[in-house]
Amino acid sequence: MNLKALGAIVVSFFLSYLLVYYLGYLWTALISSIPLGYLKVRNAILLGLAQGLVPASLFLLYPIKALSQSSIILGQLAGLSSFTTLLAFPLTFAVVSALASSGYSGLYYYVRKTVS
Amino acid sequence: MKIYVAILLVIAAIALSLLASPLNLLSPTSGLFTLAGGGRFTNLTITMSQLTSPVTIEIDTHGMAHVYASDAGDLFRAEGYYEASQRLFQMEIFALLAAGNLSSWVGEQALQSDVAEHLIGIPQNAEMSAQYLQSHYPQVYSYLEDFSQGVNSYISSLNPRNLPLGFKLLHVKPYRWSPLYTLDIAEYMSWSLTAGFSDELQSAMLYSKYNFSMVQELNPYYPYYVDGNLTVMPGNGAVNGYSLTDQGISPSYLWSLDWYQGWATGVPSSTMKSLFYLLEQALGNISDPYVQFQDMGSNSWIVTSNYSTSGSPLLANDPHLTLTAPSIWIPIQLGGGGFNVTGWSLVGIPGVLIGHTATTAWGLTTPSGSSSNAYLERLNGSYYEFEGKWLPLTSYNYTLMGKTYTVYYTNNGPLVARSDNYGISLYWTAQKVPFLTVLAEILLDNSTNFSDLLRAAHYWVIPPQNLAIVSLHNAAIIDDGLYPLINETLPNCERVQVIGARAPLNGSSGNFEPYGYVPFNYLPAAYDPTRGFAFAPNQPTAWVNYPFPFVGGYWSSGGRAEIVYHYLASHPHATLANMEELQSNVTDYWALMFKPFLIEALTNFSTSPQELQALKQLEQWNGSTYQGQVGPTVYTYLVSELANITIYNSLSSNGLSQLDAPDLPYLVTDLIHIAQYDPNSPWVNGSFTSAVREAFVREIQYLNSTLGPNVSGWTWGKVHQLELYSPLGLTALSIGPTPQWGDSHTVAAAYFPYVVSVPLPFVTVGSSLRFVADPGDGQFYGVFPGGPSENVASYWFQNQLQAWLNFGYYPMGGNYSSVAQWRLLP
Repeated sequence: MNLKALGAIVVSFFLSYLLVYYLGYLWTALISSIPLGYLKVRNAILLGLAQGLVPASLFLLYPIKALSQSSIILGQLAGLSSFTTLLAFPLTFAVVSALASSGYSGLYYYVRKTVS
Repeated sequence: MKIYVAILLVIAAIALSLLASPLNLLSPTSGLFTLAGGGRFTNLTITMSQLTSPVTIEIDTHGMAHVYASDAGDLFRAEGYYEASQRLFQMEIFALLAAGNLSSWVGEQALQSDVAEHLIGIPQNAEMSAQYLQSHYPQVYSYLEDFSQGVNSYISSLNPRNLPLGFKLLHVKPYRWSPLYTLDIAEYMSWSLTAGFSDELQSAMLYSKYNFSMVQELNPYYPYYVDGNLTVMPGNGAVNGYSLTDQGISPSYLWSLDWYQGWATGVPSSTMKSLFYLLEQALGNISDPYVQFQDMGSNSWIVTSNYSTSGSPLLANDPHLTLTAPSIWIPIQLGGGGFNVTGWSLVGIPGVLIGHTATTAWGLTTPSGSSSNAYLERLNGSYYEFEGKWLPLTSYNYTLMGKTYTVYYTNNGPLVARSDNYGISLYWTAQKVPFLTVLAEILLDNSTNFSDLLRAAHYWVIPPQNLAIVSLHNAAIIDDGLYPLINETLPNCERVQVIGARAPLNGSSGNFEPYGYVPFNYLPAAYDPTRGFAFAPNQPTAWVNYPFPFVGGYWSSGGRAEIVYHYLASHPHATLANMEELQSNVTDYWALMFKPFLIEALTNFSTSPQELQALKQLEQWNGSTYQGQVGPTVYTYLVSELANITIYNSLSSNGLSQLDAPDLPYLVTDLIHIAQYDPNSPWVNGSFTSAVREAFVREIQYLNSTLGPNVSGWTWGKVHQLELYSPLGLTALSIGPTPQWGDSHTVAAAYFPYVVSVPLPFVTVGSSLRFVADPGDGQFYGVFPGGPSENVASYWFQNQLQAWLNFGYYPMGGNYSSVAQWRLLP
């Protein structure tokens, strides 16, 4: 992996943190995964999925007891288990990110091929 | 990768992010999970431009906020800010409910409630009170404005990410607070504590189906087994040397009369009976499906200085209200600007409603004498008849969800029901008198001695309350507030002024119009009673010789009053520990009284081992109602089955099922009285013994099928459980169900209707706080079932609940340890 690829990953994760923290919407995965398009498709998918760790890690902002209590309550409200309640957003974020980054990768490959 | 595949993948990602957008609510940073981050108390520095000087708020280890300001305006601003920071959603949804505008948040499902609030006149009364306070008591009104500024300052600090959970769930934003919302809440609470109107409609409906003696047996003017020893004002009812007898009226004659008849109401009985449907319609129109706070009873008592160990008066109070999560109360100390008051603030209303200063303390219970009345009006189109003339109905328009509604008024008040040429109007003191009670509260908060307390009592207008007050040397309970007087001419032509009625009054004749109020000095009261104590758990406030008879007295049965009376009478040299012990009493006085009659009826009846075992449990039961006992279960289901096959069955078959429990306050004492004096009463199908036996068989069969064959497993905690509901009615945001002690007649009250179901309907009404005070010794303790925060994930949501369940107390004065300090800067 070259430096540019590494840079793309860092920028992508940085964008993810920024957008999830300040906006917190699933569609922000569409933006934060743009730099991952620089990678090969397989890597883009893997790192896109890994982007799910970003929102997951942000749960650590909260005291564990309050988080656990919240997940139980919100789970009851949503008719889900507390575990699913915690995982739903990060997992979906990961899938959106993986789909988008693989698509961006394909588009980038096409553009590069066309230009050259 | 082909280009179209790449494009499809991006489109799929966009589609998924859109389709899954509801999951944005589960985002860790902007969704509902933000509640996990709130609800912690940390040191803060807050800027509030409206402040004139810095304010400090310290939150102690029990969740009480101690607010210190240098002037009263800043004090109430800071109180508003703090309360909003902990309870904004509760305050706002409560205010919308009270203002009759809940539909703006939740849509059509709240329309009936909104229309009912406007019919009752809550927003109109609040508007009238706001204008009056602004012009006549600008200082008090400015406190309401200061409080609003504090609330709004907190609202301004919010962004969509950190909105309280309730706003996110309803997809609404907070609206700006104003004094009007404070007064809406005050009027709403007042209505929920006001007796008269609904009681008169219900008793008239009962009278329309049964003869007088049957009505009296079920619904006597005074509850059975109460006498002048048990009333708030001890004695025969004379007040300030004045009584019925002094007016030449015999109490025994007056209380033997049929007050439902035309001579008393101005409406012939036959007319009233023919208008049953109108009474039913009136009750339905003002019923509020979202009713938040029901007052089923409350306790308070005072001990005089010469009856206490400390040599200074003692006070105890526990108001019984609907137990919500979060609680309606928030504990707070307000210091500065001439105030140093500690206690409980009612959310949305500035100041402390129940609490103490360094040298005074006070508490509240509801007396249940009529301060609202129902009037039968004669109508013709847009006119109503009054004293032989046809006068135009006035009107008030309001809009809900784009549709305009109109409330019509006679001189008595709003028409809450109409059918052809008849209507029912609601007379309520709150329509005629501005809400000066807020001034009374400020004066209580600012009191330093007994004279100050009495001065505050003079301003208490609505709702009538038993105001228990103690200072360093004096103690009293006053049945305080405005009681409208009605002139009555008795069948023997004697004239008397009475409070309330047993049925709707004639609104057309002019003869039954309220004629002033009971003067303050003639309100039922016990000032430094010579027997050393007075108590006010909703029993009658004055006995039969009271000069202004409470014809509209809809008292509680007095079971809690009996326990309190016997306890205090046997505890001279009382201490605060005694006060706490009495507040935690879970003995059902009526059950102990009823038990011998039930056992006698069941003697030599049962043959099955299970029935014999249940009977033995009942025999051995000591009347207390702890979760692990079987006796309360056997007793309660026996009473419920007995009521079902007798009184409820009769009411239901007469189209009166809406009068079922819990609207029959005297159900148990009625049955005891019948067992003792009229065992062949038609109310028990002609035979008390047969009815009890049938009920017992049904009970055992039912409990066997629901709780299993093992009688020793039929414990009270399995069937009697507490649930603290959230304002949104969502189970996930509620607390419970959890097994609970007590029953509807214990001092430590835990109300439920006598119905046959396992479990019983959850207990939702009980002691909303407990407070004991000894100002002379500087000792104040309290507890409530909740915490300061409305954040369900926070420790502070229910930090005092376990102590409340276990009858523990926290200090409410003196030194404390802080968990956080907020500095509010101008």
